[in-house]
Amino acid sequence: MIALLRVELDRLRWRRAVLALLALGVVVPVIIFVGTVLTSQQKSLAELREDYGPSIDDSISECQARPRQWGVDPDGDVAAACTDRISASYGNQRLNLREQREAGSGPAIIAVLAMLMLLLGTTFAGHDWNTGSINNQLLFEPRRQRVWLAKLVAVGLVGGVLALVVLVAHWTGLHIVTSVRDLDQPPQALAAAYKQAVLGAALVAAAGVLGYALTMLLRSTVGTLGVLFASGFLGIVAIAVGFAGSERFMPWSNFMAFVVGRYTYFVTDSCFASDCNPERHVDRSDAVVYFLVILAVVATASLSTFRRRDLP
Amino acid sequence: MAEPVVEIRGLRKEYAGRKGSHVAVADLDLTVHEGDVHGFLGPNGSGKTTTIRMLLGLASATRGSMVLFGHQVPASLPEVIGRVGAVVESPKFSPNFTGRQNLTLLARSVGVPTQRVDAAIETVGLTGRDRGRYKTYSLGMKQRLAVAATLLKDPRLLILDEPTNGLDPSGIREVREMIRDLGEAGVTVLLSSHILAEVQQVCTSATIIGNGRTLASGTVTELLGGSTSQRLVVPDQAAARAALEAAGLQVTGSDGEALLVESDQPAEVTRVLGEAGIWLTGLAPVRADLESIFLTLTEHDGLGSDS
Repeated sequence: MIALLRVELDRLRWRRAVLALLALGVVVPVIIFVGTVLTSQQKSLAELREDYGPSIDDSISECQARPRQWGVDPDGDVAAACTDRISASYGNQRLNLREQREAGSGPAIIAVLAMLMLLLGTTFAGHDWNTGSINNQLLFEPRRQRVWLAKLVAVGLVGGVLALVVLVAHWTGLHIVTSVRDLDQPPQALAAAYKQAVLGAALVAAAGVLGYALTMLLRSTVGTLGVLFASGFLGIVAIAVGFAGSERFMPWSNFMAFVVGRYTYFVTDSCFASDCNPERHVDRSDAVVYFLVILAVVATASLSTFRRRDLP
Repeated sequence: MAEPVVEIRGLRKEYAGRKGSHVAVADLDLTVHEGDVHGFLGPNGSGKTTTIRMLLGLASATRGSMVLFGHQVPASLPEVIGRVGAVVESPKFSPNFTGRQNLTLLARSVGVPTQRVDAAIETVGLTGRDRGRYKTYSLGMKQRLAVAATLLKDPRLLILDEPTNGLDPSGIREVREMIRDLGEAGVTVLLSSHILAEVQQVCTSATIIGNGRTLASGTVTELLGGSTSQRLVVPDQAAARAALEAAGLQVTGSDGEALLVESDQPAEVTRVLGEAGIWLTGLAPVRADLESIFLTLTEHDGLGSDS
């Protein structure tokens, strides 16, 4: 089994499409990292005035006159708080690890990596079917479940390791930037970021495995991409026509719940009573079940058909 | 007699379709003995490739029994696959990998030392081109690479499905010589082909199938010997044909000047015609070749199936 796994890892690294996807899996997060660092650089008030003109001062004056309306505590240092608040509203936000983890670069990188690994798993399996080389492989190792498993582990391993390395590097880099800029961070912010890196790596690995298993089931890269696009499209339609609670079952909601811990959405079309709370949540545990069920169904169908069906 | 290496009994393959099931292989029997170079003959669509694919576990059988080296397959295929090299239909490798990379991956998947890759490449004459991408290979080179893959395992049984398809004349000759050499080296070969001359040239025994069924089987000598025709030159072909058919002899054709009668007893033919008052002006035995045997068998079977 180990020999077979090594063979599949070589098969992966010798494929140019796979190498291109892995390169993108490094380049895109680097771009996101650089973008995050650059856009969070603090500008002085003078630099903001240069960029945006006197409207900055007008806004600060308005904030100081009515601090509550701007969310500033009137009993504190109103001048400093208003300057910070107005600066932030002009895009001059301080780098904050918690914000980056909950709605910033963290989920963005995980989403990008998950998409890339989904494609990697798809193209890896699709190539075997498109070229017919799977026939040759089974003439050497006829135990189909072993072949299926070795390929699956190879895809999962490559996706998981890449994601872990990239995400840990990202958070370490952001932590260094906050230290250099001498910015205070919420307690345990870095530990929480590393935890998200581990969760993200697991999700990215699962995305690769899903792409692989689905393609082994459908025996076609185009078929897999078609199914993924169709399910995404149906999800958008379901939300657009207002199926109550459909957001609970959308990949994006569950993705955010998994990597952040909780995803909040609102149900308005079936909540008319005065005591009805339209707020709904998807928790991480819900997301784990959601993803595990999808993976289990696809993987079982994939392995079962690969073992039984005639090869083309 | 040597031990059977391949033994297939009552093999059947049905494909379910919208318009009912389609039978690709119907109760086929096949035996290949150790050391044989065995031809597996049949028209296109007669079920040769389907049979081989079932034998190698690439397709499932609807029913029947298949034994390789004394082991039931596909259940025990992992135990015997190390002794079996096979090229099924056209060569199928990863197009962007080099020939060497393709072979290395296959070798390492079953723990074959990578030094054997060099030996296999040399044996099939791909040295110097093994580091080129597979997609840049000519059809002949692809076929050679497929043969090299079969040699990686040092097989005791080689299954070759139409191995000369698409090759130029020199490539065909090389593959045939290679098959002969392997046979002489003691490797059992199952050669599937619809090229009759190929089978007659290189095989020691053969099985002829049509519509998924075994039509004839035996050594090539037996197959040829059992079907001798007589070429008769007579003044009145119509009267002669009527007399022969009335006596239960089969007239298989006419070449304009003479009638062809399927019989290995010229005395019987002479007697029937003599009794009908027809005097022969010429009689010669026609030694059948595999092509005529094949055509006779498959014509009787009403072939032309799309299985």
